[in-house]
Amino acid sequence: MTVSERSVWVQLFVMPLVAVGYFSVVLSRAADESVAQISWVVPMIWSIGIVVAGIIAGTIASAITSAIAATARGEEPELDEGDQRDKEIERLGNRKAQFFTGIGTIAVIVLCMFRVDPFWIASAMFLAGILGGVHGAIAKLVAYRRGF
Amino acid sequence: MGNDDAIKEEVSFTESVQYAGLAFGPLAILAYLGIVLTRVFTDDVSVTKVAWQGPMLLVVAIGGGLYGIGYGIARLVHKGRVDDARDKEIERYAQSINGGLVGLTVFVSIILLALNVEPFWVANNLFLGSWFASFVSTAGRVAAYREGIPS
Repeated sequence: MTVSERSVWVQLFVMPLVAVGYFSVVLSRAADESVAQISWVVPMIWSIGIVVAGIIAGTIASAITSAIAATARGEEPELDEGDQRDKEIERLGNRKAQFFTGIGTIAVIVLCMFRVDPFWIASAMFLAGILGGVHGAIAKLVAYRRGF
Repeated sequence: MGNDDAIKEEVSFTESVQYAGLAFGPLAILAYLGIVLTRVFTDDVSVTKVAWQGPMLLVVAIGGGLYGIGYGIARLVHKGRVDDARDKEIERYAQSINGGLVGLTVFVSIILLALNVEPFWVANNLFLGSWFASFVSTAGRVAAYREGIPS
């Protein structure tokens, strides 16, 4: 498994977990106060930071663990960064992710037209980003496992 | 005769659609900006209070409609294959450019929301950012047709 494929697997686990964390925090706050008062900025910054750091740390940890396991089995550890195929799969996944980003962009513009609270606008955008990321990651893994 | 055929084959159907997009896209966005900026100066309101929703919907509906009709007619008139493996590869490359720029636009929008600015700025950042991403990726497609996909 190349490093690129590993990072896709990590992304598939990290993104939904972070989304659940973010929405649990902000929606529990929404139960106690009006949405205009909710402090959603800090949880969102944390969420974006955790996604980025989580994917990097998870990929490194997974590569190290598998390299140790391979060495213990007496095999050569596979630490390839990837080739042209990885690059093409990356592009395919990004294209799939754009479907949700596009829908999210339209949804956000419509929400702005109705002047809803920024909390809803930011949350809609965040959700679209997460759904796009997960959809793209699934498309990449299907391409890795079953081909284009 | 052979020379003429070679020239005709040089620009594929999909490539000529890109040139149409490059010409048409700026017209649509200039129409939108023209209406909104005229309103800013004539309605005597601050830029964030101007009625931008109608012009945006109109430009998207009319621009998208005209582009769709134009594409439909061109497609009906065109004989032979519309795209091949090279077209598809260029399309993937262009969409990766588009995705990067749209991602940046979305990120800027989240920052704008965090700063609690007027919805006007968020919506217009998304609208103009998406248009810019689409324009640059179309230019990237044209460059890829002419000079190949950069490795």
